[in-house]
Amino acid sequence: MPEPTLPSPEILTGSSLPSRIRRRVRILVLVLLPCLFLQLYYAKWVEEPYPAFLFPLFGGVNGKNGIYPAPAEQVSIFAGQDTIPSSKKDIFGMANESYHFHLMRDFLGPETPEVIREDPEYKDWLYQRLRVVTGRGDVTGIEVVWIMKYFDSNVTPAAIFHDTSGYFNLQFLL
Amino acid sequence: MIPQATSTSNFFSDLAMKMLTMRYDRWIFDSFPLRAEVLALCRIFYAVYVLFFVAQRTDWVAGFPQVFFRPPLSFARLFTDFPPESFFHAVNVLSVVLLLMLLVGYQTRLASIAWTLLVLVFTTFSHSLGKIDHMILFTVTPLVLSFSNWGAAFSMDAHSGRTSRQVQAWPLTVLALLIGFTMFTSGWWKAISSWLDPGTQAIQSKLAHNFFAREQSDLLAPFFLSVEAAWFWELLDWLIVGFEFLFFLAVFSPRWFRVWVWLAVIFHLSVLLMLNIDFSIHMTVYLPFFPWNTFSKHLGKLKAPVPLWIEGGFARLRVWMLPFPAAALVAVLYWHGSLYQSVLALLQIEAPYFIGLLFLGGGAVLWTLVVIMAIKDYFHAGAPASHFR
Repeated sequence: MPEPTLPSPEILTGSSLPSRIRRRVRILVLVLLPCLFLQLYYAKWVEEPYPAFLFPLFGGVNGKNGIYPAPAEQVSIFAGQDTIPSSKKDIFGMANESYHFHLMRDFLGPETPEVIREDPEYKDWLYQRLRVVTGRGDVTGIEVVWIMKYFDSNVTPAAIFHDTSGYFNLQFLL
Repeated sequence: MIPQATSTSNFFSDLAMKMLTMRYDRWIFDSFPLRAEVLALCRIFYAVYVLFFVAQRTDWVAGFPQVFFRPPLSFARLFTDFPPESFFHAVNVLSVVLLLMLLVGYQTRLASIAWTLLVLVFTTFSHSLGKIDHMILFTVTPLVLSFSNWGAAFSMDAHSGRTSRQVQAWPLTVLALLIGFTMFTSGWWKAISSWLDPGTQAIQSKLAHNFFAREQSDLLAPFFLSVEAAWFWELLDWLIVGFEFLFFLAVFSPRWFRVWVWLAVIFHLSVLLMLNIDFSIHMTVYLPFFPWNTFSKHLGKLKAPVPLWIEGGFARLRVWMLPFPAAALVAVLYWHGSLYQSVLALLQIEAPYFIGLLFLGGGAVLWTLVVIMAIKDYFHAGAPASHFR
């Protein structure tokens, strides 16, 4: 037997709201609008703050004449005499998947700054991580080959050719 | 003569100001009135969806060394490193507790505000890894809707008399404004980059990038990759920019805004099918703008026992009961990282697009059916005030 229901609550719209609340809400919305545009201006021309009411820029085409480059990577971990193929999913598996691509680009990419590559804390973290990924204690290094695949919609609906765009190499001194 | 002219112009300027204020007031306070029961359903849907499909263990962030800490302009800039692991364990437990409070409507306003703040603090640190997720609408929805008193029905608060028996409509307008503006920023970014350049097809570029670089090559992605017609891709570029741009203008008309939100659900479904990007999380944000009046009018006969059953359940709930499910949910969260992953592990299945297809696909079909009903009503009975609501 269900309990008796409560009477439905009243909906307060314009005329039924106390004037004090109406005045505050009017001001809130008036202030909110310029603030929204201000953060957009700031994000575009200075830097993106967080939190901010913004959606990402799905950047336009980078290439020319309908040729679209798309970066990809081949990950190899060296352990003893073996070369073990791996992936960004293995290395950054503990993080949310949406971060993998950015972490690879920033920390295992051809443009990863020397100051990061040589950071002892970073090297130690990577070394420990690769030991976990491979299950081996004799990890000696990692190589990531960055490939640029070119997709040409005017010729064929597939990756038609690819180039090596850079390397990331790190050897661990044991 | 001069004072007369002044008083006439004053009269007209006063009249214009009054009319403007009235229109402004009508837009803020009367655009999106929702019954307390509907607001409560939105709250319950949000809590259940987030608890089961979104909430994840967060302590993985603490595993990164300091060199990974590159915070955006945010609260995290006050720090030099990620917080200790214990902080993230506290986030794990608190998020489950707050979502449970939101679900049962216990201290609803407090739980809503605390949940938003908790997510903002956590994401400020997780975004310090170099990527901002742009889930801000999902994050602030409980904060905004807490001011509508979305705990006024189907809640422990309602039965204990802790909350007012009134709900307010203006937070829905604020939420609409935030949705419209955020979508507008996306259209604006695109419009000032190369999306409107007929010589380049941006969405096709995005598809190729996702397909080859990110291995997002499922669902309809292979089919769309085989579409070569440049005019098709260019048309899509323009439609997307136009749709996102006009979202902001639609905010100022409740009817058009509801139409735009419906289109947004179809848009997100298309993005999922083509680019394998899942934005189904935004269903929690869009749900208050579902045409509830039309829906309940056509399903009135079916719905009668449901509120009784739900109310009965909330009337029987007591505070001392809450720690038990909270502890169980935290344990399950720690078992496989999230409640959803735990269920998948238990069933030994993988379902990468299940949530997106269920909520966006199901949502798009249901929403479209109700819109068709609303259009039928419109042509049969003229244009009732509740049209599309």
